[in-house]
Amino acid sequence: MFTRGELQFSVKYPFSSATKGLAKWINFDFSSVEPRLLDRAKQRAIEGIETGRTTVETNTSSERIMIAEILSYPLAKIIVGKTRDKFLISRYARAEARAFQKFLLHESPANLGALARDFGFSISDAVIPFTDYLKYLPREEEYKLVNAPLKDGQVQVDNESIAHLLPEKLRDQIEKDLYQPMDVPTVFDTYAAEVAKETNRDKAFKITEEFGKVEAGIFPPCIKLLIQEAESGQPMAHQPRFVLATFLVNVGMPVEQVTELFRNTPNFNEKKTRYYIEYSLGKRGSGTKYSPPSCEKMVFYGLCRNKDALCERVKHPLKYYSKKKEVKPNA
Amino acid sequence: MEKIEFIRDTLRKYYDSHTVPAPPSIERREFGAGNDKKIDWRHMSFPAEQQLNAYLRSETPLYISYSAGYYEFPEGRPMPKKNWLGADLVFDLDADEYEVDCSHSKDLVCDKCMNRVKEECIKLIEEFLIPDFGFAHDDLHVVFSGNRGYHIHIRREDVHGLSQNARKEILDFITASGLKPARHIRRRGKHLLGPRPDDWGWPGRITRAIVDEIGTGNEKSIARRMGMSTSTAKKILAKKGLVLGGIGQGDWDQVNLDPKTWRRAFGLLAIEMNAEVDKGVTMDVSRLMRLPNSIHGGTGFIACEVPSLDKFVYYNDPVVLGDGDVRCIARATMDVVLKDKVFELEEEKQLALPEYAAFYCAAKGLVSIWG
Ligand code: SF4
Ligand SMILES: [Zn+2]
Repeated sequence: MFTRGELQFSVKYPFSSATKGLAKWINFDFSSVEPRLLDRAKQRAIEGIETGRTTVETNTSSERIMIAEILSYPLAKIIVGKTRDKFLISRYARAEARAFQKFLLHESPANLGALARDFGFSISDAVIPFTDYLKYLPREEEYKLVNAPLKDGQVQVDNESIAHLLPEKLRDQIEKDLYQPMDVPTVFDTYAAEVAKETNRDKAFKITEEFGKVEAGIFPPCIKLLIQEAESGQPMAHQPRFVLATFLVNVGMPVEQVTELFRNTPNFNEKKTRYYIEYSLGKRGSGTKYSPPSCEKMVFYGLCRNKDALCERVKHPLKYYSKKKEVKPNA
Repeated sequence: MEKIEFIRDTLRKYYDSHTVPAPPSIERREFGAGNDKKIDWRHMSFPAEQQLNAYLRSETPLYISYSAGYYEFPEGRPMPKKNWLGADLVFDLDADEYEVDCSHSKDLVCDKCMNRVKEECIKLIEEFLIPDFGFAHDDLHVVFSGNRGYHIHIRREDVHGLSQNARKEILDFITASGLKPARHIRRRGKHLLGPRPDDWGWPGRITRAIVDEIGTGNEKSIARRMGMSTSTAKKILAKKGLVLGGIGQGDWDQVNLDPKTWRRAFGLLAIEMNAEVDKGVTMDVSRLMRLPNSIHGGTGFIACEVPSLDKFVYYNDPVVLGDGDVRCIARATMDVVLKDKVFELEEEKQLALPEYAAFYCAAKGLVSIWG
């Protein structure tokens, strides 16, 4: 038996242990899911992927609506997982994490404690191993480890930092879950195909560029080579430097990190490098944002090196990266 | 004889009569080797110690490195095909990194620069890796690089999965980059709140240094270390007891100072107390590191594990090559100290050097091999 209050809680936190008994309570049957529930789940998935955050109806006292909202979470997960699309999966996981964080920031300490326990953090000790802390590190500057209370390998946490760590853990869990093989009725495949087709990837990609972690593993070969050269400490000429900096800045790498990369080069000059990167971001000088050159120009500069098969199908190094980001795992 | 022949013959002789132990999980590691550049070939792998040693005996590269990373397919290429499973946490401290005013050329070393690296390494271990990160001495494998520095390998399982970003956070902690004094010394209403000396991490560490400086320093030293005017330092000293008592409770308001003054002190002390390491190495989870117990082809030194940094003497302890005479012609005039012996080189003069010294000097271009 679920009370209204409990249902309201589960609408916000459908993954909490408090929600566990729900499916049984309403006799939910995965083999014959009502279309209205699947439709809602699909909407949840697309909204999350495109806007970077899912939303739920919290202002309702209708049990029917609340249950649909709660179920839209596990159903959306299955649908997104069934797309087998790395990009959609990571976008969706991030969207659920951000929705979670928004609720947590206004949560009572008691509920926060209960949710933290669900995720394996015990707030009563008020510490977690630094390796876990780093794994679920919130992106905000103020949570950087250097500002955190660290001793004997443990980081002291409080309610506020917990409210930032849990969503990262949720995201990690969703991503892991979605790569598991799923044994579900074929109707989910149909919905997955629809999500894959109807989602506006460009919208989603923009958000990735703003918030995303940069996946260096899928950089085009020419850029990888430039990175290696920058790291190996050889002096770098202006042109390759410019190409590398603009590429990295364009895929969303923070200025700090780009500056770091050039630190090993013998002609490194922190101020200059920073200026230069900010310049390519359009923060300085004329205010125009610069992009790296096209493949054609790269060939001309002698910087198109190590071409691979995908290179034949792109005209721009940035396109190579965005194409790779869409590649399906296990496909 | 050509220098390269001599070097390779000597190395081969060494590898023929010694076994280089396999690094842990050898079958998951990528290997790289090289002669001119330190890594000419990579993407190699060895199933076990025996194959690794067979390779060293037959190919005898001047340099051999292995990955801090563990891979499902260490030979796979390009990188993503290897399927990265995790990586040791490694730190690289090299004499080039530090500004020491040595008079020698870039490929040589002296006590000054080698002591500086050693101090930095000890600082990293004793002030950060052990107290803050909770590593035990046994978790830390300190390896002499075979030339100008040290590598620390941490193979504990809980660090394997750390992402590149997580590793950068560790580095940022050690180097105090991104430390935000304003986050730690804050106005709350009318009060200026700050950390206490027993707080964890940087805030506590810096607070202890401030307490210590106020407690034992004079206005000059306070002004210098904390970046304030001597009149401000005087003001603090005039109320020393109150100020120290206040800070003990996290109350930084006992003298009426602009919060910026304290924050500047915070920042300066962080720079004074941080440790410097090569950032690239720690962050790069696919970096190759010199294989412990292999010979560095540029010195003839063994990249040996260092049980006690304090006692390690870089020109004695890693000398492992033989001491049969080798006839050489000096190409420079200088003294070279190895194994506590001084070898006096005089340009264009012939001399006989023990094998280990001939190797070192030939590799550094200080002598040519004769006969
Ligand atoms: S074709 Fe384009 S992506 Fe490929 S190497 Fe050349 S510049 Fe880079
Ligand atoms: Zn020196």
